[in-house]
Amino acid sequence: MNEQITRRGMMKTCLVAAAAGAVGSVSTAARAAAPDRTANYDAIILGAGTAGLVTAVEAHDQGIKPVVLEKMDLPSGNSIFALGSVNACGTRMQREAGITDTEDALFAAMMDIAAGQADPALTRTYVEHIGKDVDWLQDTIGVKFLELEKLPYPRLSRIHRVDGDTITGGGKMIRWLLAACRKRNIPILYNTKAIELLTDKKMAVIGVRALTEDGLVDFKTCGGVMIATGGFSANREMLCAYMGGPTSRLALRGSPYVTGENVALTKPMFAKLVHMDQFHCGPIVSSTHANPADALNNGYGIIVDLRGHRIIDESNTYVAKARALPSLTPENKAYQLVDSNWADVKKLADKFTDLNSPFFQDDTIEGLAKKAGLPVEGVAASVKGYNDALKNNKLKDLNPPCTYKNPHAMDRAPFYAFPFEGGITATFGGPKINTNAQVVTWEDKPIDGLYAAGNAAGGLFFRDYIGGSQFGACTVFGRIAARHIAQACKTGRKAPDEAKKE
Amino acid sequence: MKQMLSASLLLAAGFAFATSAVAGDYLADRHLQRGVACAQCHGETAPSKAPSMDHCLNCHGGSYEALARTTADKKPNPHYTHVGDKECAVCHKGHQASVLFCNNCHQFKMQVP
Repeated sequence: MNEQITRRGMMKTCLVAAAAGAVGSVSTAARAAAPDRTANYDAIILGAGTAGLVTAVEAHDQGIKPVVLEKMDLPSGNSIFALGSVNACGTRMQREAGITDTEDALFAAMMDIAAGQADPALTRTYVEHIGKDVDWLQDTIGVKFLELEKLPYPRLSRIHRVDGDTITGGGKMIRWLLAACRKRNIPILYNTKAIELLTDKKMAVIGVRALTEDGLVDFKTCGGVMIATGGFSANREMLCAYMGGPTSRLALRGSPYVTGENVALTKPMFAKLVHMDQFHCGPIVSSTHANPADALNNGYGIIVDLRGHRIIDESNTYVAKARALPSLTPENKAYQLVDSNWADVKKLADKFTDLNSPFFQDDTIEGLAKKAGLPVEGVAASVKGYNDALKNNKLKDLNPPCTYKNPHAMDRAPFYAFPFEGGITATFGGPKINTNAQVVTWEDKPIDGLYAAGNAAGGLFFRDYIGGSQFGACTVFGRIAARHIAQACKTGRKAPDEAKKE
Repeated sequence: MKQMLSASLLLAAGFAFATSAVAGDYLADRHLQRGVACAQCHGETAPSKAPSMDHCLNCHGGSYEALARTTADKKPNPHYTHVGDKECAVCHKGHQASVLFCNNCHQFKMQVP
């Protein structure tokens, strides 16, 4: 696998067995058999996503030797599914575009979107670093961004959208980061799944035990272990336990492999798990992964369930509507009905056609319902009810009410029906980190040698986030962790072998 | 006796495999018909696993980037996707119908040779 991995002789195996009391592994799971192979690195990074690869590049550039362990055959986390943007202020791009933005303004906006519940210290750290970090993504990684747009609050001119070319911006970001790792000869070991943290007698983290294609290997580190494994949006059991049944039935908008290693690996260390019920969601068609968010966010049309009844105030954000769907309908499925008063309907229809994602179109509401397999009477009554209420200025009296600020009649053919499900994008909860990206205990003490970043880390996000903050947090806290680990290596944090002798 | 039985079964299986390899229309059959022996791709005379990407690229494109250029007109380009450069055998199956990995999540209409 790697030249730094050595096969132990019989004598060494005996020594390891003798030292087992000193080098214990903290885990509530069944203990895996002690492997007969070890590998040593300055930093061990779990997960080849944006946070992990940023940490690896920065660690290398700080003069230490990192390794990245990825459980899948390629980077397979949420990054590659993301549209790909970075929420930032104080970047070179902003300055060159003549945009005035401040750290205080971005801080206030991030706290506002988080309903004041985000960790203020982490939010402050984010806004203080993100400007230079976006410049670093451009200069050191080679990331290309599209021109800044002017968007409504809170995004304003802060959304640095990655130029994905023909693929997702997130997929492109990962390609750039992988190229940066290749250039530096940073080892990325695929099909290598960390199963538990290794600690010394003082419960400092000195490595991980990982399952490789060739069996178990203990990876040891003098610097630290970075948990960059993402959240737990694809772990139904955790979703059910932390958020309840309906949330666990949301469809997946991102990776099927983001399965809660951030929690499973750190919980035995008594890590402080925070914001565990918090997540982001949106509409999705799970069979084709077409994203109908545009149809849900434009102020036109109504949403009906499979019985043809309106189920929710359509003026809600697509996030709120998707979140509510598994509670409102047993199938977690609904149809967005829109008419041709919405100018962009053809654009969305074309997108669905490109993705071979079913949608329905007809010149009458009755014909549309028939094509979609919905009860004709129910759909016709819902549309008529909406149009009549609009005419009589009674939309707010509907059940459920409709509170569109600027409602439009549904009277212009052709009519369209776009099916969708509620889908989970990402979880926000996880082990709380401090401003050094160190995981902390319930007593708010940093756990020596344990770091987390990206969606694996808890504390920064609550309720919602400004688009592009996930990649931003990966970059900010990945780089901070790498510098802290490098410092720990240089100032003589105990080498694993020394710790073992204690 | 047990060993003899196992050996016979293995032989039978081997025969069936060899027959299908010649008579079928899977990727391996087409390679064989063009004079490419099993070991040329598999690297072993009694193949135990699918050929690696490097073996495929020797004849097909030279590099993944070059290969991607040859399929750039397809929508989406199956060799330049957001999931990264998958091993060839994930989609291109030698001894069964090929599949499109993308369609684990999408529904693209694309023939995979």
